[in-house]
Amino acid sequence: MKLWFFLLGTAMVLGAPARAAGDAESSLREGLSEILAVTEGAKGGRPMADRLQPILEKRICFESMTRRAVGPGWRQFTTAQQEEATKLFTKLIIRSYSSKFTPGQRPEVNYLKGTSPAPGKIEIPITILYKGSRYSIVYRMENRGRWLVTDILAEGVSLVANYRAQFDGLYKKGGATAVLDSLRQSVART
Amino acid sequence: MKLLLPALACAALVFSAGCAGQAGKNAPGAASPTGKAVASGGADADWDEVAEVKVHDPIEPVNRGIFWFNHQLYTYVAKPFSTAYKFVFPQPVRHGIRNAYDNIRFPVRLVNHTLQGRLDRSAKETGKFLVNTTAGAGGIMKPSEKIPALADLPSADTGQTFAKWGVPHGPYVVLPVLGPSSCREVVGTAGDTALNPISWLTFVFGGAAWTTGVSAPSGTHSLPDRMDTYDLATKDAVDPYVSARTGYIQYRNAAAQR
Repeated sequence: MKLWFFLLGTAMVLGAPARAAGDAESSLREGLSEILAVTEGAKGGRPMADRLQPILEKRICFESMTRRAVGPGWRQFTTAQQEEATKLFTKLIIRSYSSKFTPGQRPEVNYLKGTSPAPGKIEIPITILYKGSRYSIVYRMENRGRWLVTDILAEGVSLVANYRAQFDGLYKKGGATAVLDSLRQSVART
Repeated sequence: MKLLLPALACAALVFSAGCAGQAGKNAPGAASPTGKAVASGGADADWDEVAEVKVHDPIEPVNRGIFWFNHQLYTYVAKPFSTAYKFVFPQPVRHGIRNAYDNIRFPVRLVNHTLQGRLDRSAKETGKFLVNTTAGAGGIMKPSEKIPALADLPSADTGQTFAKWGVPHGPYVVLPVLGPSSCREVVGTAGDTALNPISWLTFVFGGAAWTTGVSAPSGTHSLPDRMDTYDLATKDAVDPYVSARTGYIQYRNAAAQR
């Protein structure tokens, strides 16, 4: 009986990462299916960003993305500044992500084996065949009650790291005000 | 050939001890070779909270000037031309041209896979070349995409080989017209040029005009894709220069790790 419990316990421990990977991948698949259903059917009418916004807000942890993109300086932001930065950054990322899709064209998505760099975190690589070109994308996800995307790496380029490099210089020059000003300008730019 | 002078200048810089290390080494908080962030300590620091990419950019004011010049060139010349080109040549035609030129560059990939010690990839690259050349009408089509073992074969170039050998990026540079690069990558591009069969036409026919003439369509057909990539890197950036710089270095680091 003891052996049985030991084996069961071992199986549960060993099986946990695989289950986590499965849950995260299911969540990602679900999210991408929703996105592709919208982009495929979208012709005319509302802008793509408006159509995708509710899906992306459900699947991406924008608060975490913004915090990490800003870096340690985030602690010096007031609560109101943090809220505004998150709101602006969310808008920017949704616009940027949405612009990658051409209405009516569906990419071929291939899911690869995910890896877990730490408990509750997972990286799921996918390849996309889109308009005759093959792209490599990695979704970094975290379990925060449910699996949420916290970073996207396109061909090895991390979205968070890219903005982090930009915000870093701005923060050093002018603090939270400079970061917010540049975000406002970027969002206002069409 | 056009890259020979900057390549030589950069070779001296990259291979000298002076500039090595600052961009490529794992300083605390720098991107690791796997592209994952390295925790730099602290109560709430974790693997992605410090995703910071260090780039050695000692001539930033000059680079920013060239970046500005390139931006004007892309905005007022390259993009309108690219739009017209896309209108005249539909996507399948453009992809066919791209595939054919990509197929011709087979020696670049073969030699670099071999120099990186990836003989399995050299073999697959040869298989891919044979499949695309024969079943793909000289490489215009890519039937290798339908063969799982060949579809995801990573590309290889001389810059990646230098990276595998431990050569650091050296100073970041923005080249007029060509855009972001680093000293290592400039030397790498010169190596790729030397391995590209189209460049051999210069030696066979005794004049650079042949190489220029044959490679011109390659540059033209890749322009729309390059403009799209430039837009992706800069359009929604808060600092387009830093975005292009960080994106480029991350992209090349990731390519070297594949």
